[in-house]
This record gives sequence, structure tokens and C-alpha cells, in this order.
Amino acid sequence: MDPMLEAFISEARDNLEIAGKCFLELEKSPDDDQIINDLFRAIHTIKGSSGLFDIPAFTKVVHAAEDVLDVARSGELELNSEHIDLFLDTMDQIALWLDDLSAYERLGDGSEDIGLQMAQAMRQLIDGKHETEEVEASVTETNDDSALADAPAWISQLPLPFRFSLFKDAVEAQGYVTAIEYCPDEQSFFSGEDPLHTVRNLPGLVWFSVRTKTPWPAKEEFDPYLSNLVFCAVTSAKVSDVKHYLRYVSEQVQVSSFNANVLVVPSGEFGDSEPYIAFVPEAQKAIAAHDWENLRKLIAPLLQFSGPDLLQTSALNWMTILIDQQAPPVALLEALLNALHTGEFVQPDASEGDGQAVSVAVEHPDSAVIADSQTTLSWRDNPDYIKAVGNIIATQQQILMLPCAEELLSGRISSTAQTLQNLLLSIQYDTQLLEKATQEAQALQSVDPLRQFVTDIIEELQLQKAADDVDSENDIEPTVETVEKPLPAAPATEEERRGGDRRKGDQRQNSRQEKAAKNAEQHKVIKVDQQRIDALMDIVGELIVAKNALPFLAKRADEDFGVQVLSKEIQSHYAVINRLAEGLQGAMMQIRMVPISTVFQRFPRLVRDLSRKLDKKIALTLEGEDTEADKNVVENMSDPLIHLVRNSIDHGLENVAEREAAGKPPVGNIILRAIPQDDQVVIEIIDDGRGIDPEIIKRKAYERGIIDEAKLDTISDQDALQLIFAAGLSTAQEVSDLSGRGVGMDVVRSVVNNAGGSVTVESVVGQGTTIRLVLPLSMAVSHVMMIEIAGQIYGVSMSDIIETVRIPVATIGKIKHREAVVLRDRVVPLFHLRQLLDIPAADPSPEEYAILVMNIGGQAVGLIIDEFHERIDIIQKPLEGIMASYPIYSGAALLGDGRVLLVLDIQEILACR
Amino acid sequence: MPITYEENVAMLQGHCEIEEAETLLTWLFEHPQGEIDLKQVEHIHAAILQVLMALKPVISAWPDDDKVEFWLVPALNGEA
Repeated sequence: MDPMLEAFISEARDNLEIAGKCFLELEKSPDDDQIINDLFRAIHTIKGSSGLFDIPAFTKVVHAAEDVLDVARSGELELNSEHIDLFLDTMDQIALWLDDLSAYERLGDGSEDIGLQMAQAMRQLIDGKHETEEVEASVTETNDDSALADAPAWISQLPLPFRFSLFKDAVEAQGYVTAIEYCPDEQSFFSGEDPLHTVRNLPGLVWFSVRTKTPWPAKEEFDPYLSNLVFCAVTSAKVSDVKHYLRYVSEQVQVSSFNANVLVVPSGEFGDSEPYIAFVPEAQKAIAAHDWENLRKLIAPLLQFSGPDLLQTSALNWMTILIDQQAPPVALLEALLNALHTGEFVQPDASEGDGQAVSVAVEHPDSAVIADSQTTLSWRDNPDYIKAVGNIIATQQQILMLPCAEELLSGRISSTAQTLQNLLLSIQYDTQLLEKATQEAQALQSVDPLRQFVTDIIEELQLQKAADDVDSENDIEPTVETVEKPLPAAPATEEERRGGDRRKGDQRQNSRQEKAAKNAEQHKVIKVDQQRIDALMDIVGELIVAKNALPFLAKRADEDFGVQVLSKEIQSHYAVINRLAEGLQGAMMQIRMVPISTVFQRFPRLVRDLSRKLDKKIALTLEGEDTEADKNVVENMSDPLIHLVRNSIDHGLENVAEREAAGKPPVGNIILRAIPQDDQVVIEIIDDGRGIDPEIIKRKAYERGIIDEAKLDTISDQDALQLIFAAGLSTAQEVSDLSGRGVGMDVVRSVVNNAGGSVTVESVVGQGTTIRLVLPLSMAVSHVMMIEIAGQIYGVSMSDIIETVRIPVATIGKIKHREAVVLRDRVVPLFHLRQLLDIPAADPSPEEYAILVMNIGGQAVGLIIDEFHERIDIIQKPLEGIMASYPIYSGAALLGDGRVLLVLDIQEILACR
Repeated sequence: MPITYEENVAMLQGHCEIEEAETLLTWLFEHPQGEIDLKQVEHIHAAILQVLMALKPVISAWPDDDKVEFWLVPALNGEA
């Protein structure tokens, strides 16, 4: 599975769990702001990430929930138990969808309808006056493909040629026509939509028209960029396909499906009825006798002399088309005939037609199926229906047994197959097997494959009936177990949901627990609470500290007690324990390691969306996604990275015109690169945009009082660029909806620093910007070097140390009153750590200096210390209490002999100087 | 250029995108008698359709493409 989806599912599950807990707590203490805030955050996170995937129904529901919670958070709505019921059911649905996603990587059938309904139910909580119309409309829409809605009035007004072709298409397909009314949002052009293009590419589009929503305003006020259009369209595609196609604008469309017979309306001028007087009674007889051949012969000569614009002609044309159908609708033919001599056409009422259609059922079962599916959605509830289904299948079986002439065989196969298919569709059965059997039968020119299929299906239906009697729970999903239908059908999940509404208290609790238990079985990954891992991590840390005590012990055994043998033995044991402890620590780290790709993978979609929104062409390159780092580090970097990439796109990259004007290729490049570097990982965000002008930064920083006048003159361009990370500095020319959302560059820096990393920026005006994050691979164990100053041991992070050297005092030179030394052809400024820490100089002065050469902000700096000591691994803890206010210490750790090691933050010390 | 402006005729060709709507509108304001040639149009953005529907300029040639003509003609003649 797509690792990104996997990450989303796991994250959403976690958040869902939090939300569920919060809801239950909320029921007890509805006024607790903290709970509502936690809840909001959990739902908000799910919503945010869900937008990355093609699951609009899911996003819609979560979005609605978020909106309601937002209102609740502001105190305008108090959530009562009923509300919470609704929320919990919604959470259940989301959990079901997550199961679907993890099993099939898509939502179950009918999710769009469920989503729409749930979202509406949610929104009703905050909008009491919610238009009932809309709800009703959505109810008609929830019926599946086989259910018929009333056709919109404009359907029968369609131009005749289109109705002809539509009817023919529809009959070939399934007998239904899908009508769409699409009223694009006024602002839709601004989100890059072209409603006209959308409509023109509707699946199975036969006809559409455009009209205005409101009359055009005066010329001067006319704004071509505000949509004022309404589209009506007819397609022969299935409702579900159309809805899927229009899923992004589902609030703006009404989709309905109706029987193609609605199209049969004769139109035109009513001419002289005299030529038809003789025809009518003859035709009536032929219709009554179902003698279609004869009727066809009767119509043909009349058509030849009927004027093309006459109502009579269109009626005759319709009759011809109807006769070509497998089971011509008698009532409709009679109505057309009536129109022929009276000029008045009355559509036979569908409900009246029912009885008639059913009486024809034995001969033409398919028409019965169409008629009945309107009223009976759950066919199993109705014993008559079960019997009828059985009868139809049995009849088909008999037909297939009858001897048959060779030339008629193909026709028989297709007619039987058609009947069976209609039947199966009406009881929502999968027709794949049938289609396969039909193809085989046609290929072999034998009815055997079909016969086999019929036998199988009879067996299957009975099996299920028996199963139904035993376990009424299974009734909900009758088709799932036996037929290879990948997902539960829409009515099933909906049924369950409605059921959930009614059930209360314990019952609901039970069903949730069952579901939870089922979920647990499905996942082979063990989910462990992070706290437990942290606890384990602490123990491993203590073990490492305890292990570090052994060399001290060995030393004492030798020096204090003079037992050299014991000392040796302790040391060899130490080697073993050391190896095991390091292995344990490594394994521990491994548990927490995740590839950077979990964060990187969000970006292609983000970049794509932004590039559309901002109308810039962008190519994103991801490099080194396999680089692994501690889960905390990676997760903490998610927000800063999103912000940095957004910044690069929004402010860094130019649009196509600007790029071309600057002589650059029209497509802007963004490179996201992760590079492992010792025990660190470097993440670079590189763009080839307009770059950052240090002069502008300097000026702004000065204006905002971030730097003073003296610094304004002396600051280097490189240092000036780093000021973008200072709080209170925004270089954006204008506030767009992408920037200014709370996560500023200063927040990025503080997040990175808190994770033990650093961030720097390099930029060349006109050529682009590179932002580099340097992060520790793991936040848990740090490597430090111990140094000694005035008899006190301190730690210094290994990651900043370039080298350690000893240099005779005589070789130290002075540049502008500053001590410096030339090392490998490079001038390294020197600082006395004793001075910096306000400790008196060493007495007597040493003959040579121990110098720690460190990389501070990209520059080599030498620190003069008293003595180097060994390198150790420590579990660094942040300082607490009074000590927390000393930024010169980045933390403290416990040494093997029980002493406390203070870890110095050299960068901070130098900055304080 | 999907829209070519001549002395008194704007010729729309191929796919006319949303960017053209503004220019066409300005041109029609400046040329109230201007005619529109749609002969070689394959698609116009809904915004351009709105310009044509709202200002109702004289159409000197309808699209050759039936698939465009069948909806464009009723829309511009206000029949739909």
C-alpha cells in the first residue's frame, strides 16, 4: 500500500481514538474547554490530512464535524448527549472508512451519499434553518442506480433528435437516463474550474444546455468572472459514475435517474388526423395481440407521407423505436396511438403501470423487475418477491433446456442473459459471473455455460435464505459473503448506521467493542503507546549510565585496592555488557526510526495543489527519502517543512511570465533532499526562484528594531539572511492565504532548535534559495565530549566539534586584539572558555593550549579549554526549575559514577559574549 | 492566440481559456458593432461564454463542430 496512505490511516486511527475518548469525557463535563480543544485538534488533523487523498466523502464528513466543533468551541453551541450520539456514529463511520481504506485503498460503495447525508446531519446542528429541500433532494439521490426519481420537467422539452438517441442509448444500457442540474458556485472560476468543460466531459453525455441563473446586469456591472450559469444535462451513464465524476462539486449538482420512457413524448404541430383514422383501430388490435411485426408494417407507409414537423410523425417514430425493444411497453404505445388521433398525449402513470407490468412478468420478466425495484429495495423482506425471483430464474432455466434451432441460438442466449442481468441488478447482485457465462456461451454457441450459471445461482440464493433464517445480523450484507463484491453495498452500511442511531447505551457500546476487536485482528502491526516506548527508552538510558560505571569500578579495583586481576575481569565483563547495551540501544532506536519519506510524501500533492492555485509551474524532486530518523524528529519536522515548502512556492518561485522574463525555464524547481551525515540528518529545501535580497532583509530588520544601526552597517549578507528566522520579520509583500497562518519562520527555527537541530539559509538573488535543516538522527541519545574547566567536567555536543588540537601558546597570533590561530591555512578565532564562563584564568599559564575547534553557524571557532576527556553517550535531559533559565546549558546527564554532567550550549555562550 | 482581433471581427479558434475573457470583453466595449467568428472554436471557457451571452454580439459564423454548435446556438440565442 501507498506508505503515505498507511501513515494517514494510522494517524487518523490515533486521532479518532483521542476524539472518541474526548467525546465520552465531554458527556460528563460539557464545559471543559480543554477537552473541546483536544477534540477539535484531533478532528482538524484528520481533516487536514484526508484532503491529500481522493476521498471527498470522508473529508466532507470530517470537515462538517470540525465546523460544528468550532462553533461548540466558541461557546455558541452546547453539545448535549444527542449531539454526541451523532458524533460517535460519525466516528464509527470514519473508522469503517479507514478499514475500507486499509483493505481496498478506497472508500466503500455509496460513500458519497453517506458522506453527504452525514455532513448535512452534522451541519444541521449548527444551522437550524437548514433548507429541508436540500435534505429531501439528497434522499432521492441516495437511492441507488436502479431506483427511479421523477424526471425534471425540462427533460420532455428536449429537442426530439436528442431524445431519440438518448432513448436508444438508455435502452441499450440499462433503461435509465440520468439528469444533471449543475449550478456552479459564483466563485468557481477562481478555483480554476471551468464548469462548461466539466459538463462537456460528463460521462455518456447526450445533451446539455446552458442558461443564466439571474438576468445579466447592466453592461458596466457585468463581471465575466462571476459564474451566473446553470447547466442542465442528460447522460446515459450510471448515476454512480456521474456522481463520481462530479464529486468535487457535489454540493452544486443534483443528479437524478429516471426511466427512459419519460422521454417518449411526441412533439410538433398537430396536423390533420384524417390519414390516421384507418390506422388507429388496426394498430390497437396489433398492440393487444402483441403482434409487433404487423404493427411495424402498418406504421411504415404512414411515415412516408407524414410531414416531418408533425406531432403525428414523432408519435409514429416513437412507436417504431418502442417496437424494437425486447418488451414493448403496451401502455405507452396505446398512449402514443391516442395522441395520434386526439393530439393529446398522456404519459401512463408509473404507479398504474405497475400492476400491468407485473401481470406481464411471466412473459417479460425484465419489465417487471424495473417496475418493482422502485418499491422494493430490500427484496428479501418480501416473500412474494422471493418467489417471483425464483420463478423468473426457473423459467429461464426451462427456456435454456428447450431444444433450439442453430440460427436462433445466439438470440436466445442474449435474451436469457439480458433477463437474468436485469433480475440480478434489481436484487443488487454482482453480474460479473453472468457476463462471463454469457461470453462463454456465445463463444461456444452453446447454452451450457448459462445453464450452469443458473443452477449455481439457484443454489446460492437458497443457501443464503437458510443463512438468513439462522442469523438475522447477516441480513445486512447478504451479497458480500457469497459474491465477489469487494465492498459492502451502500444500503447495507446505511442500514447499519440508521440502526446505530436507534440503538442506545450498552448496545452501542457493545457494537463498538466488537468493531474494535475486529479491527485489532486485522492489523499485524503492534501498536504500542509511545509512553511505553519512552519508559523502555529511559530504562535503556539508565542501563547505559550504569554500564558506564564499570570502567570506574575497574579503575578503583586496580588503583585503590591493588587487585589488577579483578580489574581486568571487570573490564572484560564490561566489554560484553557494553556490546549488549549498545545492541539494545540500537534496537530501541530502530523501533523509533522512520524514513523521512513519511513526511516527504505529503509534498507532491501539496505542490500540485499550490501550483494550480497560484498558477505557477513547479517540478518537485524528492531525494533521499529513505533516510531514517527518530519518529519524534521526523514528525516534529512535518509542520516546519510544510511551511518552508509553502514559502518557497509562494514567495520564492516566480510565475511563468516572470520566469521567462528573467530568462529562466518556465517550470520552477523545488528540491527536497535528505542526506544522512554521521549521526545527523540534513534536510535541504532548494528552489530556483527569485532568491532573497539581503538588503531588503536588513532594512526591514532595522525598521522593526531587530538590529541596531551599528549592526545594520556591519552585518554580512550571509548573516542578514539568517534574520528571516527572527521573530517579527515578514518579508511577504502582501499577505496571501498561504502565508501568515501562525507558523512563521521564527516558529520553524524554534521547532528545529527544540529538536536539537539548526536551520540556515543561503540565497542568491535571482537564482534561488536553499534552506538547510540539520537535525539529530535521534533525540534520545547524544554523543558528547567531556571537557574540563577549572576542575569541573562539562559536556559539549560532538555534532558541533570539528577537531581537537593542542597548540603552543607561542604560535597564537593576534588580529585586531583578538587571538587567532592559523589552522590548515584557515584563520580560526580563539576564545577562552574560562573567560566566557567568568572563571579566573589558569594559574600558572599553560605552555600549550587545548583547543576545541567547533563549527558555529558555519564558521570554525576555537575554544581554549583546560583539558579534553573521553567521548561518551548520554541520555540528555532538559534542565528543570531554576536551572531552566540558564540558556548556556542545553541540558544535563548523569555520569556513570553518579556525577551530573552539564552540557554546554556553545552557540548560546558565544552569542551572550 | 486563440482569439484574433481584426478591424471589426473577433475570431475565436481552438480552446479559448479564461484569460481571454477580459480582453474580449474590453474589445466588445470598444467595438459595440463588433462581430464574432466562432467557425473554428473547439471549446470556450465558461467565462467567455458569459461574455457572449451577456453582451449578445452579432455572430458572423457559427462553429463547424456540431458538438459545439448544438449547445452554443441555443445558449447565445437565449432559447435554452
